[in-house]
Amino acid sequence: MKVNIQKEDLLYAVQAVERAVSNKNTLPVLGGILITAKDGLLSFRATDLEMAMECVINGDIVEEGEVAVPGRKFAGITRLLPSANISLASMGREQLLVEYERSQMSVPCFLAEEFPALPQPEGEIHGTIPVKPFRRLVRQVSIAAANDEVRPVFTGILLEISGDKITMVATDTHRLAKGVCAWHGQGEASLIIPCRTLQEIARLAVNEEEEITLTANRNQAYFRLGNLTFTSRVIVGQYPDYKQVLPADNLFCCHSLIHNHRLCNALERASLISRDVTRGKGNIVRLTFEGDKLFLAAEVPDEGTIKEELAAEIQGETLVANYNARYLLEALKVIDDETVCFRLTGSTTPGIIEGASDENKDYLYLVLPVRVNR
Amino acid sequence: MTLKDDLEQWRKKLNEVLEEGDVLHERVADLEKENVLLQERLVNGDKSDGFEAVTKIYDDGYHICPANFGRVRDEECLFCLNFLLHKGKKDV
Repeated sequence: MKVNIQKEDLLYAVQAVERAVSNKNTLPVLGGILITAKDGLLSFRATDLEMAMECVINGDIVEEGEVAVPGRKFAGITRLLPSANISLASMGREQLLVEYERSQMSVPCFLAEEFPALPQPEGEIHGTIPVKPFRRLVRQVSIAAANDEVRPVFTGILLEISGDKITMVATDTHRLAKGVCAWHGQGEASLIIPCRTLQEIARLAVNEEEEITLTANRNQAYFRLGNLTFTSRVIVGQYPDYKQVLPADNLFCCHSLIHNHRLCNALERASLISRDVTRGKGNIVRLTFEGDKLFLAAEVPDEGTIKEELAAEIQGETLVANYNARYLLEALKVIDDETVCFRLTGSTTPGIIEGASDENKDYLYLVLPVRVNR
Repeated sequence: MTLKDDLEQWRKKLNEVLEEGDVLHERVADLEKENVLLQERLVNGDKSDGFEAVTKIYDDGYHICPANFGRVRDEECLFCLNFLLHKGKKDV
């Protein structure tokens, strides 16, 4: 293989796929990026067997071929190359010669034929999702996904495809986030996609006018966005029936509209007092919804106390509930709206936080108060 | 690649394996604790009715929802609580 490429184009392609390079040492070639030069196109591919990413760009191909460069090292080299024309040439099967300006370096490579082949996109689910709401929803929903690999289904985002809508749901069982966006396509399905895959797609989906094409079957999901392709495994397992934990409309006893930014600031101040006091029990703030005020308080022996009063539009009962401040802050930060709405069902039962704007009308964040002094 | 590089790589790999072993040890200890508790409950029986028994398991810090049944619970769980609220209402 021998190709000529501008540094900026090379950097774009390498950075696009770098996050799929495996960090584990189980199969060394997975630490590589496969560069393929064929039919006038340059393809950059990486996979950790959970997610695969491919970026195809134009390049001046002198000689077709392929080479599997060590991913992290090659990404580091590419970042530091001068802004100039770069020549990449394979030397034998396990060396790559990188030439730039009047300099050159060689990099030992993996055997390209050991790099796993990617499955072809196929499946009964096929359609498109507009980038703008997709990015917003992934950001808003992913906050509720779990990090705990012991329970894989909770590390994913549930995609429920039905009619002209796609619903995204994530929960770590302590809170739940749900959002809906448009879907133009065929098929009905419930797929659990690793949260990391969707976050990577959202990261690279910078053109908000574009659409993401999704093709999926029971085992794999394929996302295409311009010159980028993402292949993801579908997490196997039964997602719990999230609809049963969404409170019925008649259960809400307190509705409150609050200035988002002011509440965020108050919660961050309170977190300084209450954070990580006792593992798993820390960061608790008490919210009192009363009259036209929201009172926020935290009190920890030896750490300090805080009491704040915020203006709020409250309808319904006076209600006092304790919350993990981090759970509230994470939701308020992704909602973005100037005003947020708290709809509460009781001091120990789930409540919903929503944005007040039209853009966020299909998003909700369900959170449980913390029971203290039981 | 020099022998020194080789050794460094093996050292890193060994550390990773040891770290993974620590995580697994902790997980096994947690599971053994849960197992002992659940076995005691089974052997000794519970004098209270079923609903009270699961409420007690939840209050003792364990999940009672199908997705996580018997696992240690460090915070409130939407699915456990939903079960308790609905079952409680039905029993009333």
